[in-house]
Amino acid sequence: MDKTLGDWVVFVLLLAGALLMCGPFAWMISTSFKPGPEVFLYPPTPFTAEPQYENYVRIFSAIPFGRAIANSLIVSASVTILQLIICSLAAYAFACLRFRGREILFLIYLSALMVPSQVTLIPNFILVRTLGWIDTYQGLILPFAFSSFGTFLLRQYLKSIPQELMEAARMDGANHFQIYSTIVLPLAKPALGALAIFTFVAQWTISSGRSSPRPSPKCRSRPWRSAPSRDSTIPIGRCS
Amino acid sequence: MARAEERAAWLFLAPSLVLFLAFTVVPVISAFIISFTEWNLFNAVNFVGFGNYVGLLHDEIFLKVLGNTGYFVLVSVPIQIAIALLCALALNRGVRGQTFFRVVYFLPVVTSTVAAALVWSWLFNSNFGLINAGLSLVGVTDLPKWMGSTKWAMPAVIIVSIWQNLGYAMVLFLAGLQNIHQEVRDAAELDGATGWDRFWTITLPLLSPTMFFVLIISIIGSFQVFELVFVMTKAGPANATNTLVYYIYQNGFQFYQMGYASAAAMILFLIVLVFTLAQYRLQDRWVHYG
Repeated sequence: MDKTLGDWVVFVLLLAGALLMCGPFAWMISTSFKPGPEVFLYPPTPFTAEPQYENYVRIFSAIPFGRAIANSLIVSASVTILQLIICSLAAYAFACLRFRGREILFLIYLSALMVPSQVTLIPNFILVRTLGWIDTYQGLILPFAFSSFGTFLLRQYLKSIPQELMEAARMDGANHFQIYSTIVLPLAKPALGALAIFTFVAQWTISSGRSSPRPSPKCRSRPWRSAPSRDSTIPIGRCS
Repeated sequence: MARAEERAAWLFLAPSLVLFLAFTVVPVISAFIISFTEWNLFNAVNFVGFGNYVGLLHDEIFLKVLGNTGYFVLVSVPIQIAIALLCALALNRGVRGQTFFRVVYFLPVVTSTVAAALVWSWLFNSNFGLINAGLSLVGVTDLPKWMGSTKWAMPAVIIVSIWQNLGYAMVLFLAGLQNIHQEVRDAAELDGATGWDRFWTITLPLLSPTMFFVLIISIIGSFQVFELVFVMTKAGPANATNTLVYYIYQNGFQFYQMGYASAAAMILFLIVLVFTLAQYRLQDRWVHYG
């Protein structure tokens, strides 16, 4: 009896918490249908009497929103695919091959996890500018195509693959690239999947740390669009 | 044979090495060098020795920024971890709808910070915001001006930060809790340990590796708070919410003082490094691995 009562109390508390977590999303949706002046009404109205469905049509004409979404998709997908390839190659070397300096190099890769991205933000910006990559896709993609986090994650997973499998393949005359692509990669699917999700979500929601801090409209990705920026060339703040 | 393996290893590492050198090693070293210069991106570089560092230590705004960042980290991290742990413990009791709650609490983590901050800045708005409307409904007369007041702006940013990062820590705690075998807890219960005792003597020590990871990630992350400040307050009012990374951004990309910004970035790096190393050192005292 005591236990079930406790369970109900916990359930109700969690439900209240869930409402708090969801509230802002509900408010975002409700506000998106309001006519301009009603957004600033006090007391606020939970639902508008005259929903403005055309708000959703207008963002595509008021700002190049489609372009922004396309840019975000292209950048996030490219970064994710490149990271999966580059990090898994490095992880294979660290987990399955023996070479001089392996431990030291791995520690150096790992220590990069501790460097805040803001430390490299300014030099990265200069580097990308020197390469002439401002406002280009490669400028938004290549600096993020490798991550220590991804290499660490995959290495831990690859280390758990039985060594005998790879030795058997070597007996059959397979080279390292064949072992990597036909044995190790298929076995590492769960870890690759996890890394793909982490990377894509992180890239999709990122807007700081980008190599070009004020991208031109052509290459501005989606999160930049929603920032109510005073010095932006497009009056985004007035689109709500 | 061994030489062939060595050559193969370096071939496998080549792509990552090129990118790591270009976009991590070179930038870290150059940020360090730039921090000793005066440079606006366009004119010639002018070496000033420790000038930027001395300047920062005498810069009233920078000292205020340090204080603000400390305030943000010290308040947001413990509250966030405590709530996340409570939620994870509650979910781990096997309440109905566990999956639903997990998804809902994790939703803010996968939301763009910019979009989330934008909605919260409507909610907090002191003229038409839902939060103050709610507060006045329950009889609060002295309504806080939130982002318009030097006292309440930082708490507003902290609330949004906790809301956004709660789910991440919660999911990690939940995974850690599910690794603790029921037999251990059953044994303790048989020995007559109360729920409170069991939490402190069994659950918490066994959860300490997860706690250690969450603590390090949260502290590093909250030292780097930027987007929330960028969208919600633009560091205002009167620099009340100006934090280290925002200050670096301001100096580097608004005032084009690359040297000054890089010196601030180095100080941030040093602080995070000291905190992380200190936690590594202290982990023997409270983290129990297996």
